[in-house]
Amino acid sequence: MSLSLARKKAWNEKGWSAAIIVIMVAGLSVWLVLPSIGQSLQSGFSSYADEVGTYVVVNFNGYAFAQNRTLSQGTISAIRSIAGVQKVYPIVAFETDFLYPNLVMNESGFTVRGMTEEVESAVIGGPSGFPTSLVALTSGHAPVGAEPGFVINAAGVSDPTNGKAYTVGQITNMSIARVNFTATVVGINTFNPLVNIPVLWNATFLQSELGQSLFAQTASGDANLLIVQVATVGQVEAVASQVTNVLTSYPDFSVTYDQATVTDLLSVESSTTPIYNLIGVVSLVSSVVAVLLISYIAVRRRNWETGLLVSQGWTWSQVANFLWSYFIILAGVAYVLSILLSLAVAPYATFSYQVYGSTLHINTSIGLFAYASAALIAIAVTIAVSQIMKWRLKKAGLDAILRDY
Amino acid sequence: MIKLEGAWKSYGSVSIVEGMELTVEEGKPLCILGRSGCGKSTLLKLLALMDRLDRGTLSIDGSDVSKMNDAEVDKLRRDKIAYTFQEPLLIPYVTALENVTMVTGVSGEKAAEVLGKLGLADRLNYRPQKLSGGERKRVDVARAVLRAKPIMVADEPLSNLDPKTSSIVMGMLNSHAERGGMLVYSAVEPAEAESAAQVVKMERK
Repeated sequence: MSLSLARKKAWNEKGWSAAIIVIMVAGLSVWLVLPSIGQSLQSGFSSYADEVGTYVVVNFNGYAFAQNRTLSQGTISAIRSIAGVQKVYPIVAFETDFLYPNLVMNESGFTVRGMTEEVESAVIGGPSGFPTSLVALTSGHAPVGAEPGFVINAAGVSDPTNGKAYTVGQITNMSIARVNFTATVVGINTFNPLVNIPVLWNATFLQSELGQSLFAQTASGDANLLIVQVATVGQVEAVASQVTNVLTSYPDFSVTYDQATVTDLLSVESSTTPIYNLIGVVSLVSSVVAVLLISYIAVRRRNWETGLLVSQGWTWSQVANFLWSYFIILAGVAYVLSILLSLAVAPYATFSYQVYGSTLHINTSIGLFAYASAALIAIAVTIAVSQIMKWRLKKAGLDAILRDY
Repeated sequence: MIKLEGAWKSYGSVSIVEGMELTVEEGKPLCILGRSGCGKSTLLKLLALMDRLDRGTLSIDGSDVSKMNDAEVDKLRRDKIAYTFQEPLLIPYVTALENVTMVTGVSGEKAAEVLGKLGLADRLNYRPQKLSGGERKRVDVARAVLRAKPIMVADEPLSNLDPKTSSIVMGMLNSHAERGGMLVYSAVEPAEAESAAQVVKMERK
């Protein structure tokens, strides 16, 4: 009886039902979206901090390859065993020359014809190459097969003939170990500027250009550069300090990390966590209050209806069931609509931050927890409303509530 | 048997029922006769356990209602009393038939049969807004009759009814008494009290 009467009420009083549903949708959507934005921002920042801010780089002061300075396997193993070190990437960095034979520059009364720009480079992948997982392309693609191409860190080197950054598809004259050839920029890479390797080569192409022997001599062997990945941004300073201790016999190598960035990221994490928690609490309170308020107003609208039912033999529990059935029907509809609304809104809740010369995009994703908790809130609130109304009406007395008619 | 002794009821400073005494016996309809505003509805609500006395005692089948807690009163009302309102209260978003079936839990067939006897066969699927005052009254009466409780309390059941329908409604209420039930109803016109076994006249204060 309770359910069928509640269904009729919900269906035949469409205006009221719609108004209540709209407010319930608003309340539940606030709960679904706001904390999700907070959590997405928090996890986005946190993962970014742990991905980007967690690198310690061991590099020779100057060009290591020019002096054949390398790090021993024992030293690398010692660094690997430091607590907090997640991974160590040993890299063989070598010189790549950009050749500009036709460049004419007039400087201080002198005319310079032709120019060579030396940059640090490495191959992509392999045991001594730049780790593939750390290649972060902003455009283009990683070289495939024997493609005569390289990935360039556009912020690290620019074309002096026009003063502009290199672009995908640009062909340039180059030289490695005195072997000249032309190659094409196939991808633009943006990565932690601590790792100053502007050019990343296609190993297969380079082997064919240099020949097996010269390639092995140039791009493989003992590492002269290390990228040390630390588990969390909070451990970076301690790890850098211990790596420095390990490298006491290598005074010409230095340990670097982005102190400012690490400090900033730690500060952002610690200062924003209470805000995200506050967003969660505010969302919960506002959604519950909205739902409770509208439910209370809606039931007050027609007290005599419940009085009529009691006068005709219904128990107060049956009345509470009737009220709960009515609200749970509306809450069910509101729940589905709020899911659809939140799914529609979430793609627009995208946040962009300028970091390391690139843009960090953080998308809002609504997790299962949010959906499950919204359902629980809807159920709990409808139970609370029906019980409160039952208690209030019962306390007022049958004659009093029938006088509302 | 319903027994009211030394009953007093007032709302604020207005005294409605003053030292009222009455007895309702099975099979002997009692009519409360009086003009509008004399307190008939208040008295009927007291008898139907929808309100409490300020002073005095009310006993139903020997149980003193004045000494019962709210839950016990609720149960007694639920188990023993059917009530019709002076202004018929019908749920606006369901039909005449559903106002009977959904509220009382009786079957549609049974409800339709009683509503048919009350001349509402062609109004079963009408919502209350589309029914006249007299038709709404009959739906309310049908609801009370179908609840089949030992005590029937009807507040001006014949108001807004034409003579023919009045006779049908009164016949239905009297048959409740004839089957051994207790019937208390109120009326404005003395003619409406003709079939009552006893009449209590109330005067406006």
